[in-house]
Amino acid sequence: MRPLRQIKNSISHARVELNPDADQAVLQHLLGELATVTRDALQPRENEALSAADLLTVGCLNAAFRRGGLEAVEQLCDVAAERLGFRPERISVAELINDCYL
Amino acid sequence: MREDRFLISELRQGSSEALCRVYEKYRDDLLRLAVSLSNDTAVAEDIVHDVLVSFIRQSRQFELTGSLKSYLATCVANRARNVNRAGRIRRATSLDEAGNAVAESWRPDQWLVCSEELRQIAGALALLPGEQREAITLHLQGGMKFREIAEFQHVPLKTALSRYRGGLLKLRSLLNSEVSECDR
Repeated sequence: MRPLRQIKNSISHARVELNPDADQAVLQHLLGELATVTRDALQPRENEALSAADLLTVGCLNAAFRRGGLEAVEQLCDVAAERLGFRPERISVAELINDCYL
Repeated sequence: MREDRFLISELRQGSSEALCRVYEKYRDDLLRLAVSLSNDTAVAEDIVHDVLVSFIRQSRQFELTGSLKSYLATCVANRARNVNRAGRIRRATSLDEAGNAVAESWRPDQWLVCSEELRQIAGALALLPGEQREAITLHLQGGMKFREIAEFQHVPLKTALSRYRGGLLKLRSLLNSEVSECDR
């Protein structure tokens, strides 16, 4: 008969085993989320009032390129995509891992 | 606790090392908790992943008032409740059926591989009433104090304690009856 102490110990410390490749895929995705959050926080305030269409005008893209090169243009496109609702709200772990293996 | 405050402060600045440290420190505990609350590895993976993504998205405004582990455990328990209400978790009626629920859900792309021990624990917990299961897992796996559990369940402290004790006794009876079945 298992004593209560042993059962409590089993509950607290039951071994968790992970698929290392999947674990790395999940961590990379979380790091990507952190990078997005950080980048969004540093985005210049002037973009807040503009619509997605306004952000993608030649003038805006030019200004972004002069400010920060292709990286700034890419950031601007990401903001526009987000305003258009292209960024998925959530992704399941299975989809995430499958995407990494494709 | 001091380390957690430092990690939160670093996370606010976008430190990927801080995120890696939080992930390594709490990933196993959260997965263990999620499996124990849901008895389903796929559901548990999604719960923990969603909790971590939400945490990251709120990291710039996040203020740590207690233990980070308790906070994350509460988030996992809330999501497990939502999933339960949405009917995504199968209800088992026997220890064998409950244990098999986790074993059957193995997928080649899965993140968490359930050990035999975890499978057995999750299976037994699945047979308890939800409030008892929560009280036990949040205390033993989430590291939450009974006062915090009582607040989470919106019940008096004594009720949370009695759910914990009652649940443990029931669990012992379930697990020991499985052992005696095997011995026959």
